[in-house]
Amino acid sequence: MTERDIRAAFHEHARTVYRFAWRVTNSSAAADDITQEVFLSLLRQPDRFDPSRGPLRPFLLAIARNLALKKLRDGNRWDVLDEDRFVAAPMDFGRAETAQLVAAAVNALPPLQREVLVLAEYEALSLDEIARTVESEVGTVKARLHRARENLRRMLAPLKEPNRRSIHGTVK
Amino acid sequence: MEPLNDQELDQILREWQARDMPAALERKVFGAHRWPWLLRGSIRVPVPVGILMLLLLGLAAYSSFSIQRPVTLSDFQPVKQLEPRIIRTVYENH
Repeated sequence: MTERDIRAAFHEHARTVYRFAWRVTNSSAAADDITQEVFLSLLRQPDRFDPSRGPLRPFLLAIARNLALKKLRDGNRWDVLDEDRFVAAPMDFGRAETAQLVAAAVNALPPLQREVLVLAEYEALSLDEIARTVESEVGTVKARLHRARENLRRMLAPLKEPNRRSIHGTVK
Repeated sequence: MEPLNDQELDQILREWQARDMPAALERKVFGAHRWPWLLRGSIRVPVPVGILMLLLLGLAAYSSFSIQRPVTLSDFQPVKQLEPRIIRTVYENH
């Protein structure tokens, strides 16, 4: 890849990389660093990307993913609890905005569930692209995505209209 | 408490909008790349151009070497025909 190709790739994919990093790490500074590092690594070693092995977007997201997981590990934000055994309880929302509640719920997911959920729900990647990004089998990705959605269904249950009314006592 | 169904979950997830990427990031990436490049960078040169450049460099080195060869005694030869010119100033005529 030439610098011109990398600049074109930046214009096409940098926002996706940034959003993914921001949602997975829940930090603007980390998202800045990760996006920068993804494209700098490509500038340093342009031959790292081999188009015969797959498209560019999952390749860039895979670099971002490794950097994000490293940041979570370094910051001790990686829960050692086996992610299969993670079962979420409904969250106590108080008076927070829905967007904040969703962010809190997604960030409460184990990292491996969080990343597939973000890639599927927010970046609309196919299962195959997600599998390439997280270097797993499609079946594993499907299972993680299913568990992530099940957990979110339970965590965000207080936002369901009938539940919300009963919490705030507005049912007449 | 009744969990959300698929449609409700999708609708609620969409409420969380990502913040926009800072515009300065592009300058940071491509600007930061330039300076270390001066120390660690490399340039790709096509083989024929490389060979031509090497030939030109060799030629330049050879020609500069041949011009600057050391002066020996054999370079000093007696003058075959002396043709002195006498130059006087106007003051010498007076």
